[in-house]
Amino acid sequence: MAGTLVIAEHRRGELRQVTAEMLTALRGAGEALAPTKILLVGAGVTALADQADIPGVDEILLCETSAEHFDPWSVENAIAAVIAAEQPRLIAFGHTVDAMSVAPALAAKLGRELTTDVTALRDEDGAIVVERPIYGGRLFAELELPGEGPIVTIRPGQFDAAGASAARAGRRVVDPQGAAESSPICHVEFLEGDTDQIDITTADFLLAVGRGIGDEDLDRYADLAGEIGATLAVSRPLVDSGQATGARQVGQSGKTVKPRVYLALGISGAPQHLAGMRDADCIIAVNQDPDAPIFGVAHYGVVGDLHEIVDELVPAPD
Amino acid sequence: MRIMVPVKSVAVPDEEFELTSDGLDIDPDFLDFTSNEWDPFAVEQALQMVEAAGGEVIVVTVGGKEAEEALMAALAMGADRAIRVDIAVAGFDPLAAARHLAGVVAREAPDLVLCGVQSSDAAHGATGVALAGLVDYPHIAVVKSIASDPAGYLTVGRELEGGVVQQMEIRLPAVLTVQSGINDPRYANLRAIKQARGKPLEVVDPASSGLEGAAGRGSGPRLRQIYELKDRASAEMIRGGPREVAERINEIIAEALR
Repeated sequence: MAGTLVIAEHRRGELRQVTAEMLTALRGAGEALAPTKILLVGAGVTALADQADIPGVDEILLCETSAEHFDPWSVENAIAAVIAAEQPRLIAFGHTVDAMSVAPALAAKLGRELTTDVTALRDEDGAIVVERPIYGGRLFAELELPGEGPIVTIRPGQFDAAGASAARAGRRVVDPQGAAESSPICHVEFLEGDTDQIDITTADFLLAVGRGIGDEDLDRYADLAGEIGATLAVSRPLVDSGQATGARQVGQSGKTVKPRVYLALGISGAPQHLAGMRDADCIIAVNQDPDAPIFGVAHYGVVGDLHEIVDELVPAPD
Repeated sequence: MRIMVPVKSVAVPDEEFELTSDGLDIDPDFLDFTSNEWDPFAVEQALQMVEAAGGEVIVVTVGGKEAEEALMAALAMGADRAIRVDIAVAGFDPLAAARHLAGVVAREAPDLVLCGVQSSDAAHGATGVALAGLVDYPHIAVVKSIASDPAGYLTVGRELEGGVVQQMEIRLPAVLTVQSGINDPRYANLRAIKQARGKPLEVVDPASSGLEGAAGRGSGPRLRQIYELKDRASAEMIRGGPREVAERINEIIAEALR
């Protein structure tokens, strides 16, 4: 047992950024977790191999299946077969919607230890050590993963995506086992969901609002954003309540943003939200609760009633 | 249709708290227990499906007496009966609860298991899908819509990052983890809360009831230490009246965008 098996995440012909972030985490962990093999599973993944030439990748494993789009069943079977053949010391996924459908079942079936939403990863004298949030991000735990080939899922946005492309790694075709059985799950279609075509990831200045705006109409904040030259973004609860569309949502299940200014009003800062905005250049948070986790990542904080403050904001200079 | 809904009483630390003497957890005196944020959505979904197609809703939890809070909330919403597997599991092993739930699935043989996407305290996002792996049910995580298909299938919408939804068809029996916002969970009125006390709540001892669940091959991750977020309270706090504060914010924004 040696090295790390990284499960590449791809969707509709694109390798997703979390894949490169995982490589950054592994390079940081040093030689002890090397070599790194990266696995691509699905129909047509051979065409994606070039995207997997990321610094730190030693070998690219290509597992062609008949599943044109992600489905947990075929992906899980293929990964299980590759784990059995390659015997990696560590198996890494992104902590993503796809991985949440696969990694826990794989760990349970294979009898491997699992830990998820990992924010730090290292080898300490032969022990694999990770850190992750507990109690809704109020505390962090440092854990040692015993046993053969444990499985981790790494928090998206926690590590930088590697920039430059690397030298060409070796390619190897691996056999998708179990794919001949009839699958209990099949892809039907993608629904784009949002007619809101706004792209919050390119805005310099985001005005982000959350549950703390109370019963007030979101329109007031849309107007405010317009007045001060910002783009409106929201946290998850406002999407759940139907007030805003998913296109404007920041966080783990929304967008990851890195604007120059992130003005957060009434956002307490659930870990899933912080994951999507903590790298903004300048974060200003206004919240009633002095213990709100958002103040842990903010550069400037205000404890107080946001309704009184917003009336005094003025347009940002061009 | 028999639908099983695993629920959890989650621990919420007080604003100020102390650690246990070994430093490896929060002292339980500083914890309050409440229903997991995702659970009412899973319970509501189960109730709606059973109201439409007939059947029963069973809520299950793993834990000590404090875990019954989540069961009572689900019974008050309308679940038919409850089961508590009476064993404390380590909060940092994402597979521990699933192993005990697997024993209950084996006994009850539900057509569908609906689980919240994650718990608001440990937030592993693992229990439902790990359970599916142990009992070999097809499974899909982070589901935002469920429609009944005839002939033992469901059509579900899986919520992807950035708001795109992948529609998939899944064969029953199956496990789905349910995202918040999938429905509008009903409130239990006082009468329903009273009635919930009269509904069956079975407490099972996993050692003596034949509900050991799947063999626990792993001992779980080993907890070495816990610590507070290092960058916590790193923000420079702006004080003053609303006008002063707003003026300072205006300055900071102007400076940052320059």
